[in-house]
Amino acid sequence: MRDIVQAVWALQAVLVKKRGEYRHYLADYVVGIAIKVIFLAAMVVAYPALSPRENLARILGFLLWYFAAHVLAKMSNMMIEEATLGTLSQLLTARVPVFFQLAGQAVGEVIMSLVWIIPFAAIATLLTGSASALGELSGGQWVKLGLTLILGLGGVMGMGLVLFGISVRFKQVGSLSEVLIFFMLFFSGFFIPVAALPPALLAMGHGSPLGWAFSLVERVLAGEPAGMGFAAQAAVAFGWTVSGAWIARAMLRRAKRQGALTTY
Amino acid sequence: MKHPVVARSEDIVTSSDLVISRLAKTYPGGVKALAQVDLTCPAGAITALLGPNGAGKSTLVNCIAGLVLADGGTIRCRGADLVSSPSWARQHIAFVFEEAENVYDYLSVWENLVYFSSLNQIRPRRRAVAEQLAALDLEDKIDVEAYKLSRGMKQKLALLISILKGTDYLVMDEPTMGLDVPSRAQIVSFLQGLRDRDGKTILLTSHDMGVVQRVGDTFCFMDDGRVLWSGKLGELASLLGTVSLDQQAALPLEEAFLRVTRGTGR
Repeated sequence: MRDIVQAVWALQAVLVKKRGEYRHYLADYVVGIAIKVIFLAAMVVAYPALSPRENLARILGFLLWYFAAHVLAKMSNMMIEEATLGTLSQLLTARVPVFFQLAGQAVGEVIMSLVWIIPFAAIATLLTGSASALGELSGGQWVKLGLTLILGLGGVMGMGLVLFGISVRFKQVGSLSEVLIFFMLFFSGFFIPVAALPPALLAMGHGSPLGWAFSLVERVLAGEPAGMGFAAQAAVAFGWTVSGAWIARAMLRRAKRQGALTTY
Repeated sequence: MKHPVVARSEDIVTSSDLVISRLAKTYPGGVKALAQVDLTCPAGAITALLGPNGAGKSTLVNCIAGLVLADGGTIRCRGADLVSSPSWARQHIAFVFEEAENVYDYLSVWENLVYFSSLNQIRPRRRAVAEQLAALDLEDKIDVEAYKLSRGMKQKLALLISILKGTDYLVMDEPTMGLDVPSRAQIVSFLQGLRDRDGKTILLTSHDMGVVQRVGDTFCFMDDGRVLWSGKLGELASLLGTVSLDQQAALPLEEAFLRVTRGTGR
């Protein structure tokens, strides 16, 4: 219960801050959206002969990537950004622990992104003629889609935790997060079909929460059994989260010992 | 000439005092920031920590805040040891940090207060906040984005953010640094009110002898990570040797500080 209360406080704080960020940096956000619209359009135009169901899968994969990109960027940059702004010490001495603040940042990013994502998804669905596939989904398929999207985002947050931990020591982590974001965009299966990927990239994709999520989305939409898909997806998310928690704790402790926690 | 360290053995330590004992910290590379520091911040009083740059003041503040891990020693308050339980400080102490902006430029004054209060699990009420802003001459700035505020106004906002946390303990690192005279006077008066009206226990570091002398109840001189002297203003006569207090300059604290730190060879 105490944890839930902490998470709610953190989320409330983040939403206040995000609103201010949107107001102040509106032009930057609009540019970011424009770039993502271009990627989506490219993806849709690249496969004009796909069925409505296949198009819907690709749109869902892309939207999941969109959330992932925001979550990873925010989690990997939090320490560096706050240290640069001069507010990191205040955050680290607040009653809500930093891990809850981090989770609040990630969830806040997803919630605020919905403002763009909902119209974005609606337009893409209409343009690609995927609305019919959406209408054919059963209740069970909706539940499975929801579960795989949540597990996918959970895995991305675990990945973000790893980047956060690394960022405590290395401020260059922003470059690493960019590499991961674009790896997941192109090699998770929704941009370039998995069948077209060379074995090495396919193997690397097994560590990607988005790769597993997209594969499950395709199966659920096709009405195929998920098999061990959800378990594998949960295992990948768990692996990233446990690794992230361990790295972050170790890096924070090291920084406190060295007196380098708030300096960049 | 070295001056003797005056111990405060006559003081009675209460459980609400913030008591630092034999606190030590050496950074990688062998830089000794704190060497067996002993300091008591009496409950309901303002303790001023003075020292030249590199004396160890900020390290001490960061150890209290849990941002730096001490190598040894204790920081005790109300039965808790902040060195082994750093989360106690997050719950019960509010901080204003040195050189930090402490606020977000792109958020308004009100948004900054709501943001930090939420992280401190407090829901501020706009009317009550407006009254506190009025006490700091910021009442007409409540919806103004912080980047439009002067440095002094931002510092006052940072102070208010820490007050809203509602703790009995406040630790401030250089709260008046770089401020003009009216802003300094306002912060001095605000701090005095927090002590006299609300009974807050305050530890502040400063280079501003004028501010410190006006606001401090007890004083601590630090250099090279060591406490050179601690005591009350009235005890300075003994520190200054043959010079009696009434013969001293307008700022006896500054004179004492210079004598003590000269004694360390700086």
